[in-house]
Amino acid sequence: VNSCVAMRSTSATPTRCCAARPSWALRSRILTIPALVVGLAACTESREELGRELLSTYGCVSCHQIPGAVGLQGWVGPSLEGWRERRYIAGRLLNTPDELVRWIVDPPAISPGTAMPNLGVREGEAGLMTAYLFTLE
Amino acid sequence: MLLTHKATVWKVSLVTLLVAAVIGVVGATVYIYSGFYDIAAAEPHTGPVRSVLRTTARNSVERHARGVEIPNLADAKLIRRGFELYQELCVVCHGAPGVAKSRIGIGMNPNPPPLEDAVNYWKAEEIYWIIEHGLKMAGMPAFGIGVSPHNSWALTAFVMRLSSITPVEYARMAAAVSDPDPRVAEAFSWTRHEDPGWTTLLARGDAEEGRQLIRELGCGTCHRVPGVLGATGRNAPPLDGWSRRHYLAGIQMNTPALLVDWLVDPLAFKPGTAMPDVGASETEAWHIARYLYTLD
Repeated sequence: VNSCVAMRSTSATPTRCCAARPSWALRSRILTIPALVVGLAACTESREELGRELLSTYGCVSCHQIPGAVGLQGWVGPSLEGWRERRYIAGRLLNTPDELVRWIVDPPAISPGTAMPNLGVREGEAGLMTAYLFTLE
Repeated sequence: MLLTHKATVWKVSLVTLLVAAVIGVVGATVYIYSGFYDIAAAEPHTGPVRSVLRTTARNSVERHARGVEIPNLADAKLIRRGFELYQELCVVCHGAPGVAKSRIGIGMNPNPPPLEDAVNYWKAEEIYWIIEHGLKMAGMPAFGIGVSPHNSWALTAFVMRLSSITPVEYARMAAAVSDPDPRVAEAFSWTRHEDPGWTTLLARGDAEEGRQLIRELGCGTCHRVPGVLGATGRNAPPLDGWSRRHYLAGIQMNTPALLVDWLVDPLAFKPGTAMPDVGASETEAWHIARYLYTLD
């Protein structure tokens, strides 16, 4: 899944991603079909789906309530419920996908003194996270 | 007749149980040896597994930490020592106010939780116990191995203090300990003196008045406020669970005194904020605050 994230954020085709693990099919003929199905399922995950997973892996959920994201959800920062309708980011930026990416990538640059740290999220990854957050109604 | 019937039932049940057990063991063995289990840390545990791990850990810590004697955790020297250890040992995985955890902490499963609000979930002796003994299946190391318990207590003292440290203050602490002149760190105020305002809240705030003020001042046009008629705004963060929220406006601690300051003059509190001055007086702000802290 992780290699797919990298592929997706640079918009490579899913098939190329699956061809990278042939050892699966070689192990047993019986495994070929399920392996292909599982592999395809992993690679055809939507941008929103990948974004949702990144919100867990980066630990965003440990501070924010994020509907649908896996993990122990915290109350350190504000809840991100209904993000699509949100008008402002950090009370400072207008909430557009581009601005949200800018915020996620480097929060202290936009709001000095903010508790939200720069986690080293790459722009492509922030784009995926944004895609998911904008599905929240 | 009855006796033989009973015996058959017993036999059948026993055989069924045995068969089920054998199938279970064989199934588990096949599963373990096939390699089908995805051991990747990037792949989250399933819901039931997470729930079992969490509940087991919570109950185990509560039981084992019982009766641990707590030293004076408000001691400035202990807190300062704790801060130095925290920077060295904890930030890597847990981060700090305004400070990100490293790639090590980001890749872990389960996610190392932020410790800013750890005091809301654990008692001091439990925090000490976790630091001293670590947590299995969570990647939390036992920091007590080979060192005096004093270190774990210093860390505990700092984690207790962490709940009242803003990002800006944390940066100041870091600057103080890394100053070449040791007197700078000595002179730094390691304990907190400001009154968070909990007693004033009880004395001056009226939740029912607060609820009405929230409606009259129109807070609900931007914020969702549970329990307030028509407060379903989506422009700004929902105020559900306000009593659990750690930060206020992303820059300050969520305490009654600071919340009142924020409500009375948001722009002075956080220049450039989209939150407008709704014209709440200080008295009114205490009422509003009292209501908001009823939200769990």
